[in-house]
Amino acid sequence: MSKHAAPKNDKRHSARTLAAAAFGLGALAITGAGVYAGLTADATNTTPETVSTGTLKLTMAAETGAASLTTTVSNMAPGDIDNRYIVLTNSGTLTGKSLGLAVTDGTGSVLSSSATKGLSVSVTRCSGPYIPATGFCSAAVGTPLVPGTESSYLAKTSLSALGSRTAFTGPINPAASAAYNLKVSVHADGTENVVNGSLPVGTMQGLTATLTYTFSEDQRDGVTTNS
Amino acid sequence: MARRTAPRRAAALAAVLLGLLWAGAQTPAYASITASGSTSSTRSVSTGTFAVIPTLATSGTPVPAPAALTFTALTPRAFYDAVNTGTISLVAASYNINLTYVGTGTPTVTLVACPGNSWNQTLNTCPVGTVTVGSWGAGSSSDVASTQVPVNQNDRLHLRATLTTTGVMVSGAATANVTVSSGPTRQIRAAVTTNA
Repeated sequence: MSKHAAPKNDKRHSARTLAAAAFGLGALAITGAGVYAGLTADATNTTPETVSTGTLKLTMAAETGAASLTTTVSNMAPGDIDNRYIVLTNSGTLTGKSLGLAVTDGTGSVLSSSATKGLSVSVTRCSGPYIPATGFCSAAVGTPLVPGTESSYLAKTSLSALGSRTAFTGPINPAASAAYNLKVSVHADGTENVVNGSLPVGTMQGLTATLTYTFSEDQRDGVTTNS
Repeated sequence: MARRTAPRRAAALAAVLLGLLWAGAQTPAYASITASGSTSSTRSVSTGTFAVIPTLATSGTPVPAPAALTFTALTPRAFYDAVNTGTISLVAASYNINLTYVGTGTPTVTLVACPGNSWNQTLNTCPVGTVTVGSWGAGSSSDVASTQVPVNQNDRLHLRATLTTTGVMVSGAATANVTVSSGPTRQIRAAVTTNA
């Protein structure tokens, strides 16, 4: 019996030895780097290098003379358009990229779920300030009669497709402190026939949407500098 | 067998764990973070309604339904109102009358509006002037578009349907319908663009 048992014990011992050796080697590998002694020399900059981070911020304000974007709009009919004028500013110190807009409906109805009837949103930029009372795009502040240039940033898009950020056409990468004069338009769409006063099933009439507009941008790509 | 393999498993596990520790010790502890900036604003947007209901009732807000008209040889006329129950003003509407007729000859029902006024049903007169909306024969149910419409919410357009025939009428019945559309044959007010 003892002659047959010896090889088994040897195998067990060798396996244990292997395990112990592996563990020991590993521990040495991890800690070994820190336990040798020797001479060291250091060089230190006498003036500390200053490293600061930038900021990325967007702010929104009503265009001068304009109603706030929070102003309620009521009794819209198919074909109606409501324009609001804002100034969107990249008020941080970093350049942004892929400026865009998401619009969500806190109420939820056909107005925001149907791609064929309900509400749509478009965004247009004026090279200068808008005149909110008339919607006129002027070239610059103080030149209310000189037309500026309008650019479509977001073509008319159903709310059902704006739940997450849709990047503006461009793309638009706002420089630090860049300001954008924007016309944000809400369009009411839909073709309905009302027979004897009975609104059709799934009507877009008589509904309310609570719209939250979220403009957002990403930071510019990381930069590697050499100097 | 279980006793024999246990140390091997322990050895393998220890090696793997140490390998992971080693790899972790060699990897710089940096993370990639990107920032985004955003700003939000919330507003309420509501749509209106457009609807016209035909009704025999002369007051109150009717329930959505067609109007049932009846004619006899002695009283071949029926009066009813078209009531604007929507919040959006209208510029037109489509009317139709489905006629059922008992008698001889060719019957025709003609719809006439008394815009801005009420019919004197006893004298069968309208104080200012009438406008014909359309005519329908028996079995016809086509829509007739008309600018005769109750324009604003709660307005009433007073209508008279008259049944005539080339023969002898025993009785007649009709269902009066009215439709408002926002489609290509736009019957609601013109679209509005607001700037503010």
